[in-house]
Amino acid sequence: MNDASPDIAEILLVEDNPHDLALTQRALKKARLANNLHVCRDGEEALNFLFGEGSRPGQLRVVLLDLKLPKVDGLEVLRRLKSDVRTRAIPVVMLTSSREQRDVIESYNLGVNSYIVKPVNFEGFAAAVEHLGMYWLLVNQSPKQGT
Amino acid sequence: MASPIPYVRSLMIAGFGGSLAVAAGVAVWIGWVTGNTTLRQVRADWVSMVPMTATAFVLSGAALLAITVAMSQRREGEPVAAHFWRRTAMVLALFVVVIGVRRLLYYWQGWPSPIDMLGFDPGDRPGRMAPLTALGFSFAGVALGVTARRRFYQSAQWLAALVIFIGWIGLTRYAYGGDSTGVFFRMAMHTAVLFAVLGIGIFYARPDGGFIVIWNGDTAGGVLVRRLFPAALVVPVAVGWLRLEGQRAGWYGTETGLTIFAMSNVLIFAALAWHTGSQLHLEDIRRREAEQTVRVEKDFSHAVIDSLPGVFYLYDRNGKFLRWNKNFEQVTGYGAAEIAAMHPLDFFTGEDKALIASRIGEVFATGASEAEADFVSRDGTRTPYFFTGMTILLDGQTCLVGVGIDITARKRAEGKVQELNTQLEQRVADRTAQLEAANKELEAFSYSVSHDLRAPLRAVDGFSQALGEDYGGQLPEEGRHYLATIRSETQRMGQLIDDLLTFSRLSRTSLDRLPTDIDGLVRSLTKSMAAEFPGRALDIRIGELPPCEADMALLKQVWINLLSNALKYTRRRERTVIEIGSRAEAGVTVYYVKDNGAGFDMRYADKLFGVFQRLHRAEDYEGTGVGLAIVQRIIHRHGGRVWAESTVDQGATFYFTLKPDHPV
Repeated sequence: MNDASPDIAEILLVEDNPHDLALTQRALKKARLANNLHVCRDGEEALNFLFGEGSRPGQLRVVLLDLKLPKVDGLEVLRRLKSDVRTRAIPVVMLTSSREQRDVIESYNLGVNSYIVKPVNFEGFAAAVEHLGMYWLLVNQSPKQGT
Repeated sequence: MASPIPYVRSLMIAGFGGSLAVAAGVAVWIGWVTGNTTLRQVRADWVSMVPMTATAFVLSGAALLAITVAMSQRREGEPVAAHFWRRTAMVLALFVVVIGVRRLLYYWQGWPSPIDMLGFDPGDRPGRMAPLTALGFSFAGVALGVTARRRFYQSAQWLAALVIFIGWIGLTRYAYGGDSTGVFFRMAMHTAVLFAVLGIGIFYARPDGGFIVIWNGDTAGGVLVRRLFPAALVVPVAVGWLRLEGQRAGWYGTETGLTIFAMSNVLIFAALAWHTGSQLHLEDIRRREAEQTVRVEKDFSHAVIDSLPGVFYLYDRNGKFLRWNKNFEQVTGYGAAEIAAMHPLDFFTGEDKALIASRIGEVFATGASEAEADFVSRDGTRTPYFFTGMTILLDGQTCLVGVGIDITARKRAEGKVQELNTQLEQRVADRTAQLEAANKELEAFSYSVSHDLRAPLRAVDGFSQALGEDYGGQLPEEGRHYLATIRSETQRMGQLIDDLLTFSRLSRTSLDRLPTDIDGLVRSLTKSMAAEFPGRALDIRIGELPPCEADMALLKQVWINLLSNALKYTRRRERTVIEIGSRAEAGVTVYYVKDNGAGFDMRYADKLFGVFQRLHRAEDYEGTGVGLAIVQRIIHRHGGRVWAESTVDQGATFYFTLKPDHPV
């Protein structure tokens, strides 16, 4: 638990919709969790960040992943994350508009840690973001991080 | 050919004649040995039978018995035994011939033949076999020797007739009393009788040919022979005797007597001929009528056979065609002479040949069968035919009779039906594929609706909130109210989208009917829903709720919608009363939810279950107008019905069933 302080925790947010991005950032900011946030705007960028040159995916405490993304979609990113030993342990939360049962089932089959449907209502949305940030960064015990 | 019973009976008669001859010969021998004149000569004033004659009768009788045995062995299929007995008969007959011919040679050429008495002293009587007796034995011996041979039996029967005739001469002489002029005809009484017996026996020894067949036959010839033969043998003798007695009594002279004799014969035979003739005439007419009937019957059956629409055939166990119709020749293209030389299997090829062969076997084994096969004509044309076959007994022979029908049209129709079926299946498959594609499209559409339509709403709501939080202080009171309206309407639209999606998904998801515990479901639902309204006085009464077969998830939605409606429309009551229960109607369980809420006007009951249809103002009771539409769709997908009864301000009752009223 030596290096598990919230200050050095990193959150990866993958979101293509600028409004949802702004609102999510606002909610995280309000919860004072936005300091170590990294944003990717599509699936390809996310994969580059995770597996590209000089990447340090081991630092990540949680990935907030939208389902429908340009280029490489969220399910594919999830699949790659969970099938690589380096990133397998990183918790992934689906943050999406889709209530479709097959998306939920497919995500859990691929090993998602949580599946959240974005509510239309902003208070509900903000509360959800705050809760899951808190949960994954503060409450949840992750495996010991590499150096 | 004579039928079996007359055959055996004839042989028995022949055998009896042979036995009688043997027995009589032995008896005469005993007479000679013991000196009994009755056995030797019957009456003291009649001549005696010499020992050599008795010996000849024993040999003749034995030969006749041997022939009888040979004939019955031949009939029973024992050719070796038959051959032996025939040989035996021939040897015995040869002795008889030798005896007869030796005596004739004595009379004719004066050759000495001193053995007639075989050592017995005849005393005062001449002790030689009479010439007529010797002639009789010569004929009888030859007849017995050859009668078993097929080639000679007719000659044998002529000789046998002469033997009978010789016996008859002897008997007639006894009837009339002989004088010295007829010494040639003199013979012992039993010799005469035995000649007659022997001759008749020879006839009966061949029941399969010659005279006996006519004698036993039911033909006109048979009638004639049976009627006239006995008459010809007896009548002249009897009339002659009467004439002789009358003349001896002195009633008339020789000429008158002869006239009476001749005329009596004429009269009797004329009458007999007339009577027999008229009888045969009637018989003949009957026969011709019967023949005519048969001919008509035959013409009729020929006409029927030839007018059959299909082919007709009749063949025996060996496959030899006995009868067929013109159609058969036309269809196969073969001529009558060719068909007569062909086998039924010649009209089939390949697998059909084996099929037809097995079906023919089936007909002969079980009595009937049928088959479908290609009938192959002379030029190789194959035509699908349906064949029938059944056994028929013709002249003691089991044959197969049947017809074949051209089933080309039927086959074509069957092919057509099959083709149409294939087309139909293809069409169904195409249509199903189209429907599946449309369904997929719809699914993709609602997927993007759920995802993309909600995103802007979320932005509107989120930025309105942000506006209110960050710049709310700069807005007048009215502006803040506008912002609140924007947000509540945005959320309402989100709700509408969600409801609409739920509603459209109902038609697409499959129905999983499983036994469902309704009572448990309703109790847990009411408990959790009531917990949301801690301040209200709720009286929820749950009656009997039998389990049923339903889709658990969908049915839960029905109860949620109905119960939340009941709670919503009763919230202005001081005390909310909700009754939940069921009743059986015509074997179907009807569930109901009854409340004491606002109710509705029954005039608008038909609008109740429509999408976005509302009977209350949004200010009074919020809602999207989709809930009851969802209920109705779920119930309909289960094959059930949903309806409501209400009076304004008196509460409402919602009923539903989960299966058809009249299960199919």
